[in-house]
Amino acid sequence: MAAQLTTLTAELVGRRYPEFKFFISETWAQDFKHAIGYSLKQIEDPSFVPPTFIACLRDGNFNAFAELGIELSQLLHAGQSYRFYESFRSGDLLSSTTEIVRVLAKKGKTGEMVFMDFLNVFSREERGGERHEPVKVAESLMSVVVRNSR
Amino acid sequence: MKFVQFNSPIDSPEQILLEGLLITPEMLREYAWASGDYNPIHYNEERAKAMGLPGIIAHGMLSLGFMNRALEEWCRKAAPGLRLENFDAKFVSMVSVGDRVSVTARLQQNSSASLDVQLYLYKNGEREAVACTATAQLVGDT
Repeated sequence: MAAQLTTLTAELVGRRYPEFKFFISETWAQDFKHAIGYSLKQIEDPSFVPPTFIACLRDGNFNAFAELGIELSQLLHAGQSYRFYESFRSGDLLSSTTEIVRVLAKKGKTGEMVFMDFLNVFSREERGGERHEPVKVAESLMSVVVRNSR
Repeated sequence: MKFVQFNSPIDSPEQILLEGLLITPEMLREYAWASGDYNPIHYNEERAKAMGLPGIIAHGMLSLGFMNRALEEWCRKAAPGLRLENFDAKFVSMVSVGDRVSVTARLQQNSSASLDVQLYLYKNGEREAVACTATAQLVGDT
């Protein structure tokens, strides 16, 4: 059952979702680099991970969509912002938290829609198998448009 | 003030970093596999059309990935040691399978330790699909 837009209100702002952890394996990083067009010979350091790899770490967002009853096909990606504080690379263990920071209903040309912003904060907890105090590596703000299911 | 020193000139009005890349279903499948984003509008034409879209559309983050790669390669050639710090993108129009995309860059500001760049991803040579501002910070020797 797809989400009814009337259930997506400003009262959701501030809702936080459980933390997820991600181990960046070399294979995963290579798959991503390949998908965005890097050739292996371009990368001297195999542990190099492009910053937008962080887009792969969206389990928190998918979890939020499921909890809110939002079907993926209801979503359009409107905008994306990143702040990168520290580099990350394969062999790192990252954690992420997700929070709803904006909900705004609008009426567009194609009907009712709801704009939602999700803030994700990413921290590195382990590098090369060595645990350490969490270090914030990046923040992302994902802006989506939720439309009625058809 | 000493500016970031570039190995090659990058201050021309607008540079083409990537030109005429054809978007294929294979690209979308590979991106879905790597990113875990299996929104049906990226692989199911019927579902995409049912949602009022013209057909299967590419992941916005795939376009941003191409822009990330183009910028990173440009920085790598121009001034090794630059690291992406801010990346802000607005998805203006949809990119579909069969579109050809190009990425351009325009240097906005160049200080002693960072540079600001305006990036655009165009489709089919004309229509702007993604507009992006980026700041790269110098973290190593130039």
